[in-house]
Amino acid sequence: MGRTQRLRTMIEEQFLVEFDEELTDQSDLFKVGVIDSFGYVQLLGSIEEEFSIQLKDEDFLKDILTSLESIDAFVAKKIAERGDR
Amino acid sequence: MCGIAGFVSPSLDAGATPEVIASMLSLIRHRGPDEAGYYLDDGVAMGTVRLSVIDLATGAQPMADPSDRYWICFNGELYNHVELRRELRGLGRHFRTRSDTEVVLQAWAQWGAGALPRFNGAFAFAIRDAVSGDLFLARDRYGKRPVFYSDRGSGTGPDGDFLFASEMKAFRAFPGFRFELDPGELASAFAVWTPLPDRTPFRHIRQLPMGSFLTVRGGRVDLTTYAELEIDADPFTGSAREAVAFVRDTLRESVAMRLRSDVEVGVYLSGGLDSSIVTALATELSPHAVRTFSVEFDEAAFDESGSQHVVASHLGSLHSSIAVRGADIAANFPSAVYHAEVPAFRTAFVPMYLLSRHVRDAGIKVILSGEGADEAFLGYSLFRETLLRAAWHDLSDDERMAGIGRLHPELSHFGPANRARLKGLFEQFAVERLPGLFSHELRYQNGRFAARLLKERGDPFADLLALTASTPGYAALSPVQKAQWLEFKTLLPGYLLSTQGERMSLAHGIENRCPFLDPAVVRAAASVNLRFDDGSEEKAILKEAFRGELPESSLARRKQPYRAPGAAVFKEHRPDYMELLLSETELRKIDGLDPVFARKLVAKIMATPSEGISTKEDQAFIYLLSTAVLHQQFAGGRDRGRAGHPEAELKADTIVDLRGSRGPRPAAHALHGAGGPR
Repeated sequence: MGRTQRLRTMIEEQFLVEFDEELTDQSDLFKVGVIDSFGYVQLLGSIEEEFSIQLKDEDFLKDILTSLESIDAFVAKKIAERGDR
Repeated sequence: MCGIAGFVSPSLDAGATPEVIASMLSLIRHRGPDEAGYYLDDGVAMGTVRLSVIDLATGAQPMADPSDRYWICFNGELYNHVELRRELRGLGRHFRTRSDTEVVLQAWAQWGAGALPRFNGAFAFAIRDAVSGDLFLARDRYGKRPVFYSDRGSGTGPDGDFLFASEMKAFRAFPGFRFELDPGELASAFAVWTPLPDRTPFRHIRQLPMGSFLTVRGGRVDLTTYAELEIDADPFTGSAREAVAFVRDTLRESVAMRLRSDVEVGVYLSGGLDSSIVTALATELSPHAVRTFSVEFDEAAFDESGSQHVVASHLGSLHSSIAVRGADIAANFPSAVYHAEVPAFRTAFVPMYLLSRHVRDAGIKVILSGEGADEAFLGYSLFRETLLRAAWHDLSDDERMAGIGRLHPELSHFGPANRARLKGLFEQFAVERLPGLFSHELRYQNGRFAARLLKERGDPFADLLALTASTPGYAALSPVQKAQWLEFKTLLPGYLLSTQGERMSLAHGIENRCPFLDPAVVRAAASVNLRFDDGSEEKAILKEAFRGELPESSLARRKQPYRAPGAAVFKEHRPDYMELLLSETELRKIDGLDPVFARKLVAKIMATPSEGISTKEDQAFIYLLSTAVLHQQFAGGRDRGRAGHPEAELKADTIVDLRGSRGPRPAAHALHGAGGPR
């Protein structure tokens, strides 16, 4: 399963949603009421584990993780950074 | 305390009237086990079940004024009855009893609806004007006592009947009445956490919102607000020291008024600041040691018994408590839901159901409690969260993270390791999306999730948005004041005072009184809030007002929200009613429910270890379970449970029968509701 699909499945399972024509990769998951504080912290933890990356405080200064698309791009960047080291 | 019920019915056979009103009253007999009485007139009946608290001997109901024109069925207490009686006597009115009920009646005869703003109390009542034929219903300004009504026959019932009662279950005794859950109201209640002030989960049933009265006149139903909620007050002009004394004096006066009773008054002591203050004042004002009552939990995360014992021993109260285990919650959940009559998002009302039974068995009929303090004096973390998000764009990142750190010390995911992450989340909630609801938007994320239990995918906040948009003065309130307004209009009356408060107390005939919900106390709080502190410490001024009287640990302690174990209890104990959720057939019986999402939620709850279940999932699950139980009990599931059976044969002590007694009278009109139930 590719990265995007893995993320999609994680979000679907964690928040009991299904991505479709209504909830798209671009949907703001906060705005449509999918993400709550507990779930957000839990999701970030699962992402760290699933993709073996470490999220640092400064990561949250500029990256805005509001949609599947933006989370995916962020994870891709973190994986690339990991590869660089 | 009491319960009232009645109807205006042009269609009901006159011969059946006494039996119908007696049956309605018998369904709410738990509210007033001491006496019962009813009034009958052509096409009209109303009655009371009474728990005698003041003027035990002569306060029987229904009661008439000396002219026999006004007849009253009264539920609740008027705390300032002494002062009003004096005033009414000065105006030449003569009293036959010592009861507060007669004061309400005479005040009504003197001032009409103009009497209502003068009342300081917890009440709901019906007054019949035997001359004009009008019927009035009124409710206190904070919604402490309930009154529900239906002005359209539901289902097979005939149109044109108007029914009212302290609890909806009384309607079951009216011929042809049927309960039906309303998916639109359920969605709103799941999203907002409670029904809106005038709503219920059932079709064709509404409640009088707090601070209003309703007139049934000539076939019309009119609802009028007599007291707007006042969140705003002129700022206190004295020094901080004077403000502290002012708050203390106002509260002391409020407790003194609520100790007026012909029977002993106890206190619910949670161990938190508010109930400790009430205990301290009750102890100071009582000639004897005060009895205090608490709930203890096995599970340390919920248990506050340590604080309870410290306060009780410091103040010298006669303390007793009950230990509540998960098995008790599972075993008593259906009974508690039956009394609550609405879906709930937490199980914390079930221990209160058990506590009131314990208090009754201890021989106490009246208790004081701390409800309203958090709303009036900004105790909830919600208020600090609102201040933080409202100031977000003026703060540095360090200040933002420090602010987040102060919000929920009791929640591990708000701990230091996650603060930077949560900053990203809060960033998303630093601008208003739902007009006027900025303060609650983060919380309402949980509500949106629960609203997905319904098939209908409309905006579950539409009715709340309409309510705030149409409330005069709302838009001009500050973000924190709007948060207070929302708390005073939704969670307080819709859950804390009702489901967790009076419905659980009255299940066992216990009357609860709330000293923090006195108009003078709420006004005092509004005048000092954020005047002498920045709100970062909860209830700073209240703590200052009682420093020296309460143990230091009570003042230093952070607020611990009163909670009880949730979904885990039902997983572990698997009560038989869990079948309502585990069986596809049962789930599909509930109209308007989305069985696909419901099944997914249940499957996840059943498969996930408790620590992996989020608050919103837990809440949605408790909503689902309570809705299923309610549906089975009320909306004609295969087993109507206890709801179908009156608690006991009603023996009426007082019957007033005016049917056909005064010559030709206009027949009761068929009703055409204005602003009535949909």
